[in-house]
Amino acid sequence: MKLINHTLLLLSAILFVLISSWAFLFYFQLLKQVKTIIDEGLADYKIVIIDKLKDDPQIIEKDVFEENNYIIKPIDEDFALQVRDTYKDTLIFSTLKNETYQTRLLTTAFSASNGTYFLMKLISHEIDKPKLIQKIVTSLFWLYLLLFTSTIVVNNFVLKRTWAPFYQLLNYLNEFRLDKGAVPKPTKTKIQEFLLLNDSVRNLVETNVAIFNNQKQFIENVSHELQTPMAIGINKLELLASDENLSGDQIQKIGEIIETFRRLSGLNKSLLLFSRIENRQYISVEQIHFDKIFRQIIDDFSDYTEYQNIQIEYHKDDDWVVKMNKDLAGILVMNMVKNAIIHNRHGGKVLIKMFSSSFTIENTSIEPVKLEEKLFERFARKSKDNNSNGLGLAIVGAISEVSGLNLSYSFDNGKHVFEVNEKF
Amino acid sequence: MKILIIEDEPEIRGLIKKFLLDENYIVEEAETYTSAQDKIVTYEYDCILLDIMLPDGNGLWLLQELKNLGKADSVIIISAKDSLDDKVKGLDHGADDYLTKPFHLAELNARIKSVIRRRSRNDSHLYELENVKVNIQDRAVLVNDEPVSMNRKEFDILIFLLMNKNRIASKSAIAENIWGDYIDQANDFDFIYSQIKNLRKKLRDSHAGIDITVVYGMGYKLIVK
Repeated sequence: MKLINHTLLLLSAILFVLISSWAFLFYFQLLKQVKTIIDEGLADYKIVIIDKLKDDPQIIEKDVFEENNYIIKPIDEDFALQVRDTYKDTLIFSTLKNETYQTRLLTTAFSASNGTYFLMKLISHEIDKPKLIQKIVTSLFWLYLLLFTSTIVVNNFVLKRTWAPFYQLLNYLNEFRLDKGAVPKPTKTKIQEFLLLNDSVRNLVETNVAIFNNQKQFIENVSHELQTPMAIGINKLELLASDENLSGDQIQKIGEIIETFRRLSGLNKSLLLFSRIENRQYISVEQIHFDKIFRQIIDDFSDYTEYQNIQIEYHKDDDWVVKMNKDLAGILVMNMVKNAIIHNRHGGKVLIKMFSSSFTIENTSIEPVKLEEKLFERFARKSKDNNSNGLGLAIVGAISEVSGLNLSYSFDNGKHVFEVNEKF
Repeated sequence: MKILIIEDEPEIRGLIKKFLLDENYIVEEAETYTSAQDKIVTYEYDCILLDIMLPDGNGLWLLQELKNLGKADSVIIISAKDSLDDKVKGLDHGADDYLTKPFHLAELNARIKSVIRRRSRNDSHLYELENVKVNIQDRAVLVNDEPVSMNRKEFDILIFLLMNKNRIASKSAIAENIWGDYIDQANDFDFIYSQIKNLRKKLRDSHAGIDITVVYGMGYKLIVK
């Protein structure tokens, strides 16, 4: 939920509660006022009627409210003296309208000029409470609507203005990539909190960029430091092997040691590559045509597969064009194809299918189902095959991760199936 | 042929020097940026082997210096950094080639010969040994002046072995040279055997004065019969 909508929702809820409770109070206040006014009217009316009837020698008893809205009945003196003017709500049945309605009722007593006492009840006109409530609710609804719209307008205007530096910073952070290492441009603001936030973010970014660069340097230095002694080892042995006095057996042993050094160096290179991918040091992206890469790599491996008597079949349904780093795309395909070849059996098959937004690589194998959850972890292999350094699929996993690709594995009909598709 | 090795690591420098002396080059060494600078200003070299990570400066600046001096010495960068950025940067600055440590001496040898050949003006794309003539530019092989047809890989292997004649070229060195970076982590290089077998057969069938022998456990060696 957006900040602006959040505040809007909160404000609307508060407004709603406030206006509702205010409506409640307002209704009773208004009702009270209405009754007071009606009662005053009744009191005036009473005086008028009494004035009119007082001198009338023949006061007619009336026991039905008619057009005059009062009833009169004679009472004895004792009772009359007890009667105080009382106002109360009452329900009247109107034969005219054929319904009951609410009115105010004034009960009073008076003495006529001839000394007789009368009890008089007067009713006011109708108090239409539901209508009153309805009126109040409608007007308050409009008021609420007005306040709500003004809240939106104010919110948009005030909040957007107030939070502009915040949104700028948010935008910056969203686009921020550690490997690009840009430092935020200070947004112009006079608000102390935002100034503080800007400073904190800048500090955080600067520290992290420094650490990142440091680490990058460290990885490269380690690799450099390791490659040099390996280079010395390999080259010394190569010179030694050219010594004419060595026996065939000795040369073979030297060859084995060179091979070990080479494997060590390969492992070092893979580890370096792995850290580089995980540290997202491959930044630049371009349009990649997987079809082209596959054709190239299948060709590169053709002598190897021919020797191993492994058949590579390539089916192109459509070319998959995706935006990613060119080197990573090459390494991804190379490692996957290589995996399918080296974990194959002699005379086996590799089937590659290319679709418009995915590809699959299937290979036959003598190995049983792999441990799926550990498949893309470093050194999770079980085989003691020297052809595998245990990093190939981990590199594939890491490349998929940083390139926004989805990588999955299944075991189908005795075949290992790897699929790469776009992550949605 | 004069070669300058700019490398701060004494053991590597010594090894390369020994190897190149065996190949009959005149070799000079520089272990710092400053001493390298002095040498390139004063002398001309056919090839400079340049380690770009030097204790007192970046080797890439030396490339700029060579350009400023108007010198056309061939430069091969030898670096422990297997980073594409550096490779691109180095080649952009005018280096002729880029070799990542660790490398096979046979590979270094082939690269040096290849950059020297490319820089020289005369008929250096012709290579002759005994009765075998190879035109590197036209990719043609003549034995006793009779053409011998070879596929791309057989030809490349022949060139690589010719440049390293009488030396052991390990299977991995051959594979890396011919099949490139993709293959360099495969450990089973026996697949190159079929290409070598065909190449050998062609040389023998055409009565060439050279032959490829197997050095068991290491690789192959091109020898004069």
